[in-house]
Amino acid sequence: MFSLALWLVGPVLESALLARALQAGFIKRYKLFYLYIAWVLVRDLSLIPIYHLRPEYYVGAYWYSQFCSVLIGCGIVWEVYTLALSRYPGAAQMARSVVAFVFILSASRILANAWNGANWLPPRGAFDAERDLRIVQVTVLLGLVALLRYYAVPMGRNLEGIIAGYGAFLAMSVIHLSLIGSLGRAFPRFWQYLQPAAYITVLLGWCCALWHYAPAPESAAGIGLEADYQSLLADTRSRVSAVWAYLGRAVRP
Amino acid sequence: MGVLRESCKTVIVEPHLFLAGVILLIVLILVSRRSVRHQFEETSLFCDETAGREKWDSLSLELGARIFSSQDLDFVARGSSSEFHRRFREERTALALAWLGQIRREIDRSMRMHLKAARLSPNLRTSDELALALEYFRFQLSNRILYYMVWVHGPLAAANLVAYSIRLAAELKGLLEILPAARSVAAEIINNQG
Repeated sequence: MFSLALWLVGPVLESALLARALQAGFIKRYKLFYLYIAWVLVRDLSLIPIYHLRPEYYVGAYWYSQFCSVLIGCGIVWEVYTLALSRYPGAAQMARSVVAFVFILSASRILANAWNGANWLPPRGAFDAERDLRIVQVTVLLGLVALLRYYAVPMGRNLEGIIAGYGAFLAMSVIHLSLIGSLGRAFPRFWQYLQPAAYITVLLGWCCALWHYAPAPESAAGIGLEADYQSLLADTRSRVSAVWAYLGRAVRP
Repeated sequence: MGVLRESCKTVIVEPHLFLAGVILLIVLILVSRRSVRHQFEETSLFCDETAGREKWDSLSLELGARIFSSQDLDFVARGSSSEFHRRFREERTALALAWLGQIRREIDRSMRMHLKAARLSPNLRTSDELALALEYFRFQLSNRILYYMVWVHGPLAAANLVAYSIRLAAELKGLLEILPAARSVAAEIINNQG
């Protein structure tokens, strides 16, 4: 009964998210995020009748649609990148380099594991495959968030809510899938409710963060500093080096 | 109980779980912390508050050498009570911590100004920014380690410890440079004897 309740609350919250965005007119501002929500809603509503009427097809339907969810979820990370950094070309350039590096590093490790192991393809390796794809997503998202914080890029309430919710969802998915993969039949019963409950918490968080349209605030331009990046960089480096030298001289008289 | 033990073992042994737990914590902390909007009007020991770019006050920066040296402590120790000596050490520790905090704040301020301008610059170079970031983090790490050492041991002991560590590192480096040469000489001697 409890698991059925958890299963039904999800589509209700997803519908509320979509309905609110349509009604308030900002669904097009976060196209890829709402595409993901719409896909998850359609998937949830399709799986319920399959589970009850054609249970023999449920496992296949679940895993193949889950991979589509993972791929569409990548769109959320892309949307965070484009929306947060559209006004900051310097930070966007850094993000392209850093995120590409992080993506190549995590993806190559996973591809190497997949090449060497026999357990990566569904249905046997479905847990491991989804977990590894989620790890790539969460690593890329973490790299992007670290960069946004480093450059103090203002994100706004909506974008912060999307990032926090999706990041928490990805991390919980990795924990959940790792435990299932490791423990198998010994997987504790209460854990099976934990991930759906965590997803519902994420949906509630998204409802709060996205109930009103709150884009990233405009930041003050320039602040009267040098337009030439090279002279700015040289000046900052000389300050850091100077203080570093004084620090060294202080402790080594 | 067996399942609980298995779950705990999985959390410890399975790197994905540990990674996910750390990532969850970091993402929630990063996004939930409010961005601190620092004011550029804050007063500074080191900056000349004239219009345009502030200038570093090298006299205030050089205070650090005096704070960490034993000169004043030795002067006070001559002919004063142990209580006075103790009070002096406490005051000097507080001064050293304040100085370290101030220079860290100054660098943080400079970096914030740099980052706010750099993020708008289309001419930004990734390698230069990464080099600056590494230098900045290296400074932060050193400053904080020194801050902790001063807090625990006082400025003089901390300076002595740093000087000792640097001397030790130099000796080890010298030793490592000598070792390959010594090995080749020993090999030659053995070959000649053989």
